[in-house]
Amino acid sequence: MQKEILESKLNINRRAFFSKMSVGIGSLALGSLLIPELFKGGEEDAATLIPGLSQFAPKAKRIIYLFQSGAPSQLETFDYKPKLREMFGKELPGSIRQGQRLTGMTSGQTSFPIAPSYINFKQYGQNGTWVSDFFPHIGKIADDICVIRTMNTEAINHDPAITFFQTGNQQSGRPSMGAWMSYGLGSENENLPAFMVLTSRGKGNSQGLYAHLWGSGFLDSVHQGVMLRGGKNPVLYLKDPEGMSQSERRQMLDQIAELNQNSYEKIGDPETMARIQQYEMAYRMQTSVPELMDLKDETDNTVKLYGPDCLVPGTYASNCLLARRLAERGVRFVQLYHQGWDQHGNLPNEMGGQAKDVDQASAALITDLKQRGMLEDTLVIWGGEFGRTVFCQGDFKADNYGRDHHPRCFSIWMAGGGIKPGITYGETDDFSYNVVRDSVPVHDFQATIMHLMGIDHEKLIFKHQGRRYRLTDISGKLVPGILM
Amino acid sequence: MNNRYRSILENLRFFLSILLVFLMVFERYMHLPALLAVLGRMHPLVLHFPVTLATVGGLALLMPDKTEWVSWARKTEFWSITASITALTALCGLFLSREGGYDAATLNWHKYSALAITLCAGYLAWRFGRGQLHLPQWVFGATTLLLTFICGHQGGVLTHGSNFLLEPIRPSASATPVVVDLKKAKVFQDAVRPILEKKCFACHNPNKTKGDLLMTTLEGFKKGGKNGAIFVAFNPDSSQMVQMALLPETDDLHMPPQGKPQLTPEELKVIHFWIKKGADFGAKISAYLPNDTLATWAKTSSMPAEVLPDISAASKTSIERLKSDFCNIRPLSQGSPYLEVVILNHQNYQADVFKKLAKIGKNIYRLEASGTPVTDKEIKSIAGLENLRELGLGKTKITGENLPELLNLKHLRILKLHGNQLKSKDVEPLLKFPGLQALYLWGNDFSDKDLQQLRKKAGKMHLDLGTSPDTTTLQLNKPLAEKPVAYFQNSTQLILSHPMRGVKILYTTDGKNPDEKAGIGMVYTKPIVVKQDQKIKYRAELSGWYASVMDSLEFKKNNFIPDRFELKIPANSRFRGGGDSILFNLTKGAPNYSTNDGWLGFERNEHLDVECYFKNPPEIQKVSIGTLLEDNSYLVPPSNLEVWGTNTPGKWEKIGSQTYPIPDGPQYGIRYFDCKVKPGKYAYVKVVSKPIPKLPKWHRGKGEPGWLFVDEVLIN
Repeated sequence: MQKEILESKLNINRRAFFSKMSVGIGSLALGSLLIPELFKGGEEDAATLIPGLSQFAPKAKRIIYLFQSGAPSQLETFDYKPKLREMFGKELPGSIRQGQRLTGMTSGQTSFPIAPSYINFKQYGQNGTWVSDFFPHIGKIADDICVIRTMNTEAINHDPAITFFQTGNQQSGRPSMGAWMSYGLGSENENLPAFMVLTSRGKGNSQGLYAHLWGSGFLDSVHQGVMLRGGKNPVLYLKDPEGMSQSERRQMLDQIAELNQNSYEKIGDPETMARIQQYEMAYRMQTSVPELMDLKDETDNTVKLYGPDCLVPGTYASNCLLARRLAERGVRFVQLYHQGWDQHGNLPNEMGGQAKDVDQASAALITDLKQRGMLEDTLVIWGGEFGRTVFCQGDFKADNYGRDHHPRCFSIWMAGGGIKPGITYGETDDFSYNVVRDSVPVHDFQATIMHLMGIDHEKLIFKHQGRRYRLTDISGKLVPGILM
Repeated sequence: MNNRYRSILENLRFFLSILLVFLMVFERYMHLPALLAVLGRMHPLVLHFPVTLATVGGLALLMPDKTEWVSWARKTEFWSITASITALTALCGLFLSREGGYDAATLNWHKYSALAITLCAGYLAWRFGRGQLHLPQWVFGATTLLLTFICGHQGGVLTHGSNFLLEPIRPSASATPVVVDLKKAKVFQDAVRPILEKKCFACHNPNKTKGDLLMTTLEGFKKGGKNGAIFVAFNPDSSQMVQMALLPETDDLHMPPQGKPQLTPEELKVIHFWIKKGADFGAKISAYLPNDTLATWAKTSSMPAEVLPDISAASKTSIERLKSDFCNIRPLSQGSPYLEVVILNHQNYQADVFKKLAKIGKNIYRLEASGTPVTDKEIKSIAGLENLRELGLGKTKITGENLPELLNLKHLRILKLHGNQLKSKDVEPLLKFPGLQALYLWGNDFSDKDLQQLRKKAGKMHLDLGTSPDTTTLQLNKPLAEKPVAYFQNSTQLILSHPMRGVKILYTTDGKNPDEKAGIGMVYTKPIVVKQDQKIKYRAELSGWYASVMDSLEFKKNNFIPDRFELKIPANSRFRGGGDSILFNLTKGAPNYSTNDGWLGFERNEHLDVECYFKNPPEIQKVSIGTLLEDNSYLVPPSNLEVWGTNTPGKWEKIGSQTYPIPDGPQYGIRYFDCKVKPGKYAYVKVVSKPIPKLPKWHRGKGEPGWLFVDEVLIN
C-alpha cells in the first residue's frame, strides 16, 4: 500500500512540475515549483510509518471490547460507597461538585439530593473486590478481572463520549481503535476482517450508535469495522443473489477487479485498491461467515455457561459467544455494544434488567476464554462511556431514582492479555464524584491497551492533511499499575 | 573568453545563487518531485568539484598579489564557475537533505557554510570583473579555505558519523544493543540512559553543549556542567538534575526547558532511584527487583521479559510460499526471526501443510491449529518443529495415541488440547514435560477419578481442566415468535420456535397460564391459527431447566379497513411515525416509540381525528384504538373516544362515545380502548380521541398535558 501511495503522490507532483515549468521562467518561478504551499493550498501527505506488525512482542493478540453503551452507573456496579446511606437525600456539597458542568437535563435542578445505591454490594475473590448484587456472575470471576474505578473523560454527552473512547477525539471522523489495530497489526485471518462489530440492545433507555464509531476515518477503508447482524443475514448483501452460481460470481469479481485495476493504473487512487480488496474479502466471507455463525458445534455445557439466550441471534449473550468464536478465528478486534444503560430515571428497575442481560454472558466469556487457554493473550474490556451522578435526577424515592451523566469518575473492568488480575485500581472520594488517587483518563487507557498489543502509542502515526495523528492524539501515558 | 559566454556564465551564477537563497529561506514549504530527488542524490558526485575549485582558488589567492602563474585565480570566469558549481552542489544537497534523517545542527552548519562559499565566490567573480576588492586578496583566500574546510568536514560528519575522522585514533564506545535481557540489564545503561537520551541529549551533546554540560559521554555526565556535578550519589534531593527537574516549568532553570518534552513522573522516579542507590553505573536491575520503581519501569519498557536465542531468519520466499488462505505466518514482532503460524479451518485446508512447515521449522515459536481437522498423522511433523513454545491443538481430530511424540519439543511451554476425545492414559506422559508451564485439557473424556489423578501428577504445572459443567438449574429463555402479525383482517397465524434442542412449547388461548405440571395448555406442534381477538400465552419447558418466563401476544381483528381515510388534525411534528397510513396498516407499534415509526403522537391542541370512507358500508359494532402507555414519558391513556357515523357526507351523527377515567397510577405497555357503537351500516365513520389535558396530581408532570400515542384504529 505504501508504495502505491508514494507512486500516486509522485504522479501528481510530476504533473504539477511540468505544468508549472511551461509557465515559470526565472529562479523564483522555478523555485516556486518546489514550494506548492507558498502559492496554493496544502496537499495531502501520505503515511509516515510502515505498519502491519507489533513493534515489540505483545502481551495481547486480540481485544474483545464489551461496550456498555449509555453509561452504566458506577454506584450500582463497582464503586461501593457505604457512607452514602447516612447521607440519604442530603444535598451534595458544593465543595465536591466544584462547578462541574451539568447536562441540560439537570442544569435546571435546584436541588441535588444524594441517592445512595439501591442495591447491596458483596466482596468477591481473594482480594475482596466489591461487586454489586446486580452482577453475581461477574463477582465469581473477580480473581480474573481488574476493576478500574477511576476512569474519567472530557465529554458529558453520549455521542461525543463514546466517540472519544473509540477514536480518541470527541468529534467524529478519526479512525476507531479497532481500525488503528487493524492498521497497526494487520489481520490474522485473511477470510475475516480484522475488526468486527456486534450490537445488541437491552430494555433500558438507550442511545443511538452510529457507524462512525467503527469507521476507519482517514485510514484505508479496509480497516473499518464490519458489523454482524443478528438474524438470518449477518452481513447484508453477502449472499449470492438467487440464480447466481459461485463460479459466475467469481467470474464477475475477476472482471470487476480488472476494470478497477485499469482505473487504478490510470488515476492512482489507493482507495481503488481498497475496493478490490473489499470485494475479495466479501467473497471469502461467503464461506467464512456461515461457518462462524453455525453454533451447532457448541456443547450444551457452553450453552449453559453463557445462558440459553446465547442461541438467540442478536442478544448480548449470543454476541459474547460469537466474540469468542471470532477471537478463535483470529479477528484482531471484536467490538460489542450493548445499548440501554442510560438511566436518567427508573434506575433500579432498568439497571436490573440490563445487568441480567450482560452479567452471565460477560463472565462466561472470561471463563470460556480461560479454559481454552486464550485469556492470556486476549484482552477483554467491559465498560461504558462515562459515569453517573451521585445525586438524583428527577423524582427521588428510596427505591426509584435516576442519575445524570458524570464524566469525572466511573468504573470499568479489564481482564486477560497482560492485565493484572484480581485487583481494584484507583480510588474515588466518598461521593464517587472525584478521583482521589490513580486517575485513568481515556487517552491513558488507550495508550495502555496499545502497549499490551505491542504498539508504542506514540509511534503508530498517520499523517493526514499535513498533520500527524495518533489514537491518543497529543497525550496518553501508560498505566503501569494495571499491568501484570 | 568571449563576452557572450561570459554573460551566460554570469547569468547562470546569478540565477543559481538567487534560487539557492530563495529555496533556503522557504525550505520548510518545499515539496520535492521525484526528478529533483534524483538530482539530490547526485550531491555526493558533484560535491568534489566545488571542494577542489574553492580549495585551489583559495590557495592561489594566498599567493602574493601579482604572482603570474596563478593569475587565473584573479579572473571573474574562474569564480563564476566556482560559484555556479557550488550553488548547484548546494541545491542538490538541499534536495537530498529533504529525505531526512540528518542531525539538524550539523546540517545547518553544512548548509550555511556552503551558502557562504557561494556568496564569497560570487563576490570575487563580481569584483574581479569590475576592479578592486574591498579587502586584501589573502583575506578572501583564507575565508574561502576556512569555509571549504568547515563545509567539507560537516558534510563528512553527516555522511559517515561524528567520529569518522578520528575514529582510528579515538575509538567510540560500542553501540548499545537495542534489546537486552531483563536479567542482565543495568540500571544506568538500560533504564536511566534511555531517558536521558530521549529528554536531555538534544541539548547536551558534543555538537550542542548547553550549560557546558555534555551528557552523551560518561566522562561528561560525571563531570557535570558549569555549575559542577549534576548528581550526588545517595542523595538525589541535593542532585542538580533532580532539583532542576522539580522546579516549576516556568522557572528559567527548569529542565528540560519549557516547551521541550518533559520528564514524566515515572522517568524522574527512575533517575531518583538510581541516584539514591548510589549512582552506581554497574548495578544490575535484577539486584533491585522487585522494587516498585524499577518494576514499573520494566513493565512499561518495551523490553521483552523473555530473551530468545538468536537464530537466522527464515527466507521470505519460503514464508510467502507457505502462506495460504488457511495458513497465516507472521513474525512475532518487527524484526524478530521467530514466527507465529495460524492454521484455520477452511475449505481449502490441507493436512500436508505441517510437513511443509518443516522448511521454516526452526523459526516457528507458536503454532495455533485449534479447531482444524488435524489427525494423529500430523503429530509427527509438528513434533519436528524444534523451537515451538506454544502449540494449540484444541478441538481437533487427534485421538491421543501418539501424543507422547510431542515430548521432542524441548522448549514447549503452552499446550492446548481442550475439546478433544483424549483418554487420561494418553495425556499422562505429557505431565512429564520438563518445561511445560500450562496444559489445557478441558472438555476431554475424563472421569472424575482421572481428573483427580491428573491434578496430583501435574505438580507445579498449570493444568487447566476447565470449569466443571454447571449443575445449577437455569431458566430457559422464551420461545421466539416469528414475525407476529398482531392485527389482522380475516385470520393470521402464530409461529413459535425455540433455539434449544428438545424444548417443549406450551400455550393457551383462554387466558390461563400454561403449566405442564398442572396440565394446563397445549403443546405447540404447528402454527396456531387465529381468527378472532385473542391473547395467546406461551412458555418453553425442558427437563433439567426451569420453564421460561411466560410470554404472550395479543391478536386484534381489524375487520373493516377503510377505502380512504384522512387525518383532520396532523399528529405532532415530532411523532408522525411512518405517516398517517400507519393507522390502518395492520402493524403493531413497538414500545420504543422514539425510534419505532409505528406510532402517531398527539399533545395539547392536537388529538386523533380521522375520517374514513367505505365503498361498501360495513356493519359496525365496535371501534378501538391501540395506545402506548409509558408513564415516564407522559404517555397516558386518552380521556375519551368518540365515533361519528353517516351515509351523507357532512351530516355527522354521534354513534358512540366513551370517556375513560384518569388513571390513579403509572401504567405501561400497549393497551386498547374500545367504544361500542350504535349498530348500523355507515359509509362514513369519524373516530375522535383526545389526550388528557392536565396530568393528575400524583404524576411528576402534574398540570402539564399528557400525550396520546396511537398505532392502529380497529373497526369491527
